[in-house]
Amino acid sequence: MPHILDEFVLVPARLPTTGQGKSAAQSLAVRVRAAGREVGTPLGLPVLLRTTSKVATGDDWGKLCKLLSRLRIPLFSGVAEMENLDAASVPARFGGRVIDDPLLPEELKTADAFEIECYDRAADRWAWPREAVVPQGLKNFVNSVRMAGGGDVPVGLSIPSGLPSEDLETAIESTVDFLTVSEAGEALTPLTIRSISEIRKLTQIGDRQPVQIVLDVPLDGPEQIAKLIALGADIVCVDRLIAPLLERPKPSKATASGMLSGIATPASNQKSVITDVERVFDQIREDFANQLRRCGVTSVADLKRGRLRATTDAAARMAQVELL
Amino acid sequence: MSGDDANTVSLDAQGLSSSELNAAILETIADKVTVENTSEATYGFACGVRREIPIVAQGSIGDFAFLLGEAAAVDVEGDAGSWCGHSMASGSLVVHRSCADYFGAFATGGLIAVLGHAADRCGFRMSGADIFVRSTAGNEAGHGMCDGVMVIGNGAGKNLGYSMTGGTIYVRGDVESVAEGVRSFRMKDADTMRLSLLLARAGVKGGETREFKAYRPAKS
Repeated sequence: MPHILDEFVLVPARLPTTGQGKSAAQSLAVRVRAAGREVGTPLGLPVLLRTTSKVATGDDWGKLCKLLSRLRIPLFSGVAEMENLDAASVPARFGGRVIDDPLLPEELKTADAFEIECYDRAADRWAWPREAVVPQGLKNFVNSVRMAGGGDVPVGLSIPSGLPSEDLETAIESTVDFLTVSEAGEALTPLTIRSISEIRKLTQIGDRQPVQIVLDVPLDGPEQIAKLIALGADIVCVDRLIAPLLERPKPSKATASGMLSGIATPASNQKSVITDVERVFDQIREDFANQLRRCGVTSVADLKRGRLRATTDAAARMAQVELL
Repeated sequence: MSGDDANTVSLDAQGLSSSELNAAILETIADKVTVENTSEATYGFACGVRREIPIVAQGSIGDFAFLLGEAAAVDVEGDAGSWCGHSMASGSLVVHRSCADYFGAFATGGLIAVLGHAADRCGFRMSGADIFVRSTAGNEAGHGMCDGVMVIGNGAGKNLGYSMTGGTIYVRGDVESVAEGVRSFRMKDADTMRLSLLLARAGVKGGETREFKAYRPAKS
């Protein structure tokens, strides 16, 4: 089935070389920023998990966290879900708060980043936080949360893709460090591509601080991550690539031990879910590194829109890139 | 910055952004901090403070004062803006004049007092703090409240206790209207005791508890 990202290609180029004729070293790491400063540990890849929960993961939660900690891939989680994990198994944690819920000191204090969700669960629609109703409310609220977090915790807002420019300006002028742009549904649409372009354009007006973009959108495969980064995203949520692995039926204790009458199930056939998840992350890393190499880029920061070409006029206009 | 005595540090908010002022408060090592020249433009005053220290604003302040505050005793000698005491967990916030909307919203602990008038939705969704309003409270006081105690000294506006699921609101004086699902209960000894203790904490001497009515969710 055609995908909107199929209308974009990364242009091949030669890798820069060092003075000794060797290819320059590659870095796939990114850092989150707070008030314009890069803070915290660098992420191993420009990806994170946003909707994968302890409830959905079940017994594999501890192993998943340990894997994410080793790979330096953060996930959105409440602080309570990290209890009972040993120190080596705790990954970087993005905390959050939904509309009309209290802020919790331990959620903010221990977070590596903090997202204020612009989603009214009672009405099941997006909405500005109630704190925004007073003049300068959203900006003062974001800054107050930032101050309460000590100034080093990046603070962001989550918004749906396709918001009009006025709302995107409101979000940017609140001085957030990042915007999580999400799109529900089965397939990526032009709304997300246009939102990324619009956010990038608006942040260049005046003396606005740059805003990092976290994308939580439908993905078909790891090969799409590089294109989304080139289009302007900083981090891409990859829950949808691993969700099928976490949701598949797990072997019951009976089959795992071969006790099911009449059927012997050798223990060697029992697959670990986390092993498969790790393979997916390995594939993401390999694919991303290959794509950077192919378009002559050695770091995520250099993977910009100039490396992209559109194969159709509509795509070129939508993403404001050159036509191939 | 100057020290009035060995233990008190005085800060001047003039010329400082709200972030700079808050950073100065957090970094100050003293037994007490006083801040002069605060104004309605000073938002986020003392937000995130988590130690036992008296902090005095010698003027009015803006929105989001003492957001996520713990342990400190914050005193505001003038008016306060909206959302003061937001998600406060412990300690105290006392506003000597009046405050704007959403006073004590989401508070989970501590004492939050205003010695004048509180605007609409005071105590919004609070779940454990004690709130004292010496004068009148606006509309929807105790909106979404699920625990804690609120005391209103001189009447309340419309829809008292809107969407309230727990806690108690003690009101002296007229209530314009009571939200559906909330009703007044006869004051019991436990109510009298709780009310007296809260009035004492708020510094109200000789408060006559018999003039108050207790409001709770009808099914409590």
